[in-house]
Amino acid sequence: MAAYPITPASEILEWLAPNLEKIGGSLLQAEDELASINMIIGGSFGGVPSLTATSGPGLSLMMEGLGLAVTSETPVVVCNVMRGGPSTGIPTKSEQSDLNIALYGFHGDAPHLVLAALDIQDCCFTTQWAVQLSEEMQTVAIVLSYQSQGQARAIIDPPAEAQASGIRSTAPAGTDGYLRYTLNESGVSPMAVPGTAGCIYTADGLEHNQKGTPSSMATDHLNQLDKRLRKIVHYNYGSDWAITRGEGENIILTWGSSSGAAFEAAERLTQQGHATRAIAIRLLAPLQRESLAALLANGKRMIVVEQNHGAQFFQYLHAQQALPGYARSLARPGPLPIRPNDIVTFMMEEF
Amino acid sequence: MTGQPPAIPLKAKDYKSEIKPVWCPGCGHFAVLSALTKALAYLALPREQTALISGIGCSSRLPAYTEVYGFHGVHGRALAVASGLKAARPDLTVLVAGGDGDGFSIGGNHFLHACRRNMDMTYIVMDNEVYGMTKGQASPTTSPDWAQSKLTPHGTGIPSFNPAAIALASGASFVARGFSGDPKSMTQLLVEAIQHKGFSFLQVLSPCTTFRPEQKNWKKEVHEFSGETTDDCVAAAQHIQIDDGMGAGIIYRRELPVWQPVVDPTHTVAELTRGFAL
Repeated sequence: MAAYPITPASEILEWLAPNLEKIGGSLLQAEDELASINMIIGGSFGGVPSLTATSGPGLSLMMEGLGLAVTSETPVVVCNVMRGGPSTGIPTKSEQSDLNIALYGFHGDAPHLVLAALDIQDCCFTTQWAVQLSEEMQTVAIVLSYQSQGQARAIIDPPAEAQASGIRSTAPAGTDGYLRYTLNESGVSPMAVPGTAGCIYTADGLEHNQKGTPSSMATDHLNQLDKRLRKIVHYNYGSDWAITRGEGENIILTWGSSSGAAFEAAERLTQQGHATRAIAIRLLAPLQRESLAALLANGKRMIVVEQNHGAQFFQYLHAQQALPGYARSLARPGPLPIRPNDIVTFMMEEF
Repeated sequence: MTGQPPAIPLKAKDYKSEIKPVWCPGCGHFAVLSALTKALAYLALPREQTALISGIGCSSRLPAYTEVYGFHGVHGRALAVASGLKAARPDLTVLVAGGDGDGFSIGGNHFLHACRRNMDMTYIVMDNEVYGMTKGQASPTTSPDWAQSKLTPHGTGIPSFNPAAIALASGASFVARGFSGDPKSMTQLLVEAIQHKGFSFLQVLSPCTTFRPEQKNWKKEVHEFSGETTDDCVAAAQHIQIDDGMGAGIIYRRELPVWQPVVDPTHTVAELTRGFAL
């Protein structure tokens, strides 16, 4: 790991620094976030799974580096512990307002993964899953956490283990005619780790051909864009991309840290005679549109809950044509958390 | 993963890739590439155990032209990528290459901290006092009265950056200056820089014949560095100030603690996890 101190992500770093070295890892304190993202790219290029943790301003500084990781197909994970934004914003309070930068902050077409932890316990599962997915697909995964998760203490049951293989495809020594960015069906091409004889290549942030040689040819650009998209679209994510609780024609759809309030609101509404299901999305990009459509079937009323001013999640789902016309947005900025009663009241107004 | 020494000694050409450089005819960087491959061959470094990291600019195209592992990243961040790689893979010989804009302007902060961190790597800056790839703007090492750029029609008016002085002040343990027009000496400097344990900084005066044609005169202006190589940073600082910036040689060399992250694997993940039990 490499990271630069920032509220409210420093707790992650301060726990990891002394503990990571005990299991053979290390945490470098970088001179800034431009360095930390590029340091972990260097570490990952060296064959070692690498990640960093930051918050909104740091994520803004990392965006160019993340684009490099996408293009050079160097797996890295960024845990972004969200705080009130934009700019310095409200560093010590929560908000779910970094969804847009996580989804759209890159220049160019840069397919990548965005995940969000649903609660404190789920931070472990989601981050572990993100590392596994990133390693398997050789791409960027951004994990969205939240100030009130990042700086809280809680007693939890042992978290579940993510079940993906997490194995990076590497090239064996002496691979004949080795092409680092070879075009194949899965889109994942074996990555030679430095030290492997006979597979020398140069990783590049410039668009390149299959060998890695810089290229501005239309065919190379299209082929490599397709490859980098294909590998994350065709991956089988299984059922962990979302959690549903309850059933009923009323639907509360949310993501990340508003999930607890949504689950509780669904229970209360159901107890009050309004059968309600709550759906919390853990994998935000690539959006599992078909699976989501199945979860949303037979709904009558629906609210989309998130803690930001711009209804970022609601707009994202609309842009993906994933919402029925009757869906309504409950979007409110931080720093106060969205409470179950806010959701219940909003839903009752829909009746 | 450690590579075995090859049975047949590698020659300089074995460290060159098949890719033809994009550099202009007469560019000083050709000689840097040639000297680097000679230095690697002299040191008999296994190609797969060597990594060359760069940012963006004419000189940063170097990795693709060599037959070692390479990473051509974004503008200004080569030292950060290299530091992460060296931290993760101390077994590799890590080389970093770039230009004066990449290293001293957009990457200036990383330059300070890489010198200070003193990890075991070699940083080669091909200094031509101009941004070549963006077609001729002033860089931090451009003299204040150079008025040939449309971007700064009156010159920058800002005193130029002194790379050797900054490297020394920031804690680099090896500071040297070379000239691409003297490939033999430059090869020797590269060999010594790579052999040095710690952060080796090598500024190479490498003319840009396209945007700074007057630099063709450098071959008359470059001379032996004014001072003796020293391990005394005060003396080295004085030598740097006395020199006119065109003196080539090893300015400063000192054995200083080399930084690597502490890795002390005493636990398994399961043991750490058990520490959370109530």
